[in-house]
Amino acid sequence: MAIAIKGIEKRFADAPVLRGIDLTIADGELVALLGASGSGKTTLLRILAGLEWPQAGSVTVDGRDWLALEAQRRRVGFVFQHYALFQHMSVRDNVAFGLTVRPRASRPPKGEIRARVEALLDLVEIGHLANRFPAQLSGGQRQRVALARALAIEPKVLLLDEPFGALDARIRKDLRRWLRELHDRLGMTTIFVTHDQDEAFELADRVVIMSDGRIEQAGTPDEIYDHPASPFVARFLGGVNELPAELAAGRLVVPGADAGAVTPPAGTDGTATLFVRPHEIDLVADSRAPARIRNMLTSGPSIRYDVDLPGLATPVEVELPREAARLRNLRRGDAVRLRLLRGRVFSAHGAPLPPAAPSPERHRILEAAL
Amino acid sequence: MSDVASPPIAAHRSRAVPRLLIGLGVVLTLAFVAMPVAVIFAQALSKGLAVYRANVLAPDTLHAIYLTVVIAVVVVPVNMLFGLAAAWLITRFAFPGRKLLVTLIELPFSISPIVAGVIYLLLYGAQGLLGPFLEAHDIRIMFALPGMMLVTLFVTSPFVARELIPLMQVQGADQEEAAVTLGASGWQTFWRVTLPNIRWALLYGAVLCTARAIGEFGAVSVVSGNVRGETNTLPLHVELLYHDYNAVGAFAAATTLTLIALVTLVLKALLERRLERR
Ligand SMILES: Nc1ncnc2c1ncn2[C@@H]1O[C@H](COP(=O)(O)OP(=O)(O)OP(=O)(O)O)[C@@H](O)[C@H]1O
Ligand SMILES: [Mg+2]
Repeated sequence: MAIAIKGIEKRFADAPVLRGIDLTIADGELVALLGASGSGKTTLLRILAGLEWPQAGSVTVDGRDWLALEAQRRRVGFVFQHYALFQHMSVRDNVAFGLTVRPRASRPPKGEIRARVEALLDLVEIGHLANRFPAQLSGGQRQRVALARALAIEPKVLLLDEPFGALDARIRKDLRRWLRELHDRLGMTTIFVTHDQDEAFELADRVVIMSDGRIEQAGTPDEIYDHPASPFVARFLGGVNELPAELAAGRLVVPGADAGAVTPPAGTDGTATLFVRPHEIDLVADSRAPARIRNMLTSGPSIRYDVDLPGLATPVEVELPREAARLRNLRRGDAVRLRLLRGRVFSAHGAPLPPAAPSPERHRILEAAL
Repeated sequence: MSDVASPPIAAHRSRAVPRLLIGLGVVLTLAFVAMPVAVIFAQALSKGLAVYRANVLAPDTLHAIYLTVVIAVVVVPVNMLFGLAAAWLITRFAFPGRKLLVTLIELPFSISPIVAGVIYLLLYGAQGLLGPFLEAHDIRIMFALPGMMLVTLFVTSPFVARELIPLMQVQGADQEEAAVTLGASGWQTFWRVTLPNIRWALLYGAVLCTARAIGEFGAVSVVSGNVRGETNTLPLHVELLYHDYNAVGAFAAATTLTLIALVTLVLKALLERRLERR
């Protein structure tokens, strides 16, 4: 089902938690909500599920006013952050719950409920645990029960609040793929909350980055990675250098570095910040250059350099592929010139400037580097 | 920590102190709990089993037992309902005055039962605030069963709510919310999710409430009027017999109270085990 969220505002006793959320989600889309703790992700999901009501704004699902509908009638599959399994019921009864509470007219016969529960338990691969109680399950198993229980009502919209929060890294990876397949197979519209950036980027069609009750950016993983809309998003994604820069007459000047390859944004002269990822920088030995290699670290297929740039408190992180690093043959203490291959420029007050596109020179440099 | 590693004095003290405390506990329990209970039975049976039987089966004693049970049978369910409603309201909704309500529910615990009885007297008695109105409509509350029920309700009203509120606070509304998103109505959610999760605490509160309802003396004595065979509950009856210099009768009636108390104790212990298991 297609979901249109418009201008949602939510306050808890005057503390604003959502400050105007606008988001449209297409039918069958898999969307990740990513954001720091307390940014309002759970609150937004709860509003969609009908467990919380906003003070302003609207939610329309397939053209229908969703906020006028009680939670009970929305048929939204909700997987809670802490599972919320029924402690006094077996796994089987937990999963069957949504079917057994239906009014008699639409309730499937007992035998059919049983069969459907079995099928669901097999789907989430915990068929052998049907008679256990929630207290007798591991975190991952509880997670699966919660998912099976939510799927039992054949939801058109599936909301998952940190579905893999309690699991270790390896199982998380398996379950990610599994959830993606499930989503594709059942054709629901799915929104899931996560703290884990990799998870969001790997799994979702579209990633929504939230901060402090606002959507900072919504887009495909590639869009967000390549064109972060704000310094916040760029920082949030992490692993990025922030270099002070100057925009003058259409030229980008970064003290101590060669920014010729970065296409400067049009218009607005003045101070700006350039966000560059470690692998978007090349190093060239140059005895007259002011930058010095402070440290080198081998990390598998690439080499990381910490480079001191005069006037910068923190060293610039640079990452070169192992082959390129061998050709450069750089040592600790060497003077180097930074060549910036790519980057995103934001004006000093964080206003998003048109993203810097790769220039032809970048390709030449890249080719030379390899 | 092993005995070998600890210094000898500490080891010595660490054994002596618990022993002393345990010994003290045993002596005090014997002196203040076991012996009085034993005395009740010894006194009740001091003139033989036949006299004991006759005393327990005396019409006034039987009526007192009956009255006590009637009061409990009415008061306990009402308090279970009240406690449930109050706990649900307090733990599931945010509203101004919530803290005040919690305090109000606990109030009967901090008011002396005699005072509670007097309050009801001042309200519903012939000279009381509502006295003229009640008289005009020929409604008799004081010195009759309704008054005794009302004061017992008042005195025992916190028991169930007090057990439920902390439990429901800890459990949170998660499971209920899950039930609602799965399509359950409010009623279905209550019967199939809320109630099963709190049933042992509810029963526990009910047992405490029953024990108190049966044993209540002060408040009931103020509003009962002590009419033998009419408005005498068991505790009042025990006192009356004692004042009549009928020690055997008084103790015989007291044994029934004691037996009820023991049964309650066993139930309470069983429920506590259930509650801890969860
Ligand atoms: N019932 C409530 N009453 C008052 N404040 C609340 C309530 N629920 C949430 N909040 C507040 O709203 C803000 C957003 O909470 P929310 O649970 O939506 O965050 P979140 O993004 O899901 O965080 P996390 O990643 O830690 O789960 C928080 O500051 C929280 O304290
Ligand atoms: Mg959350």
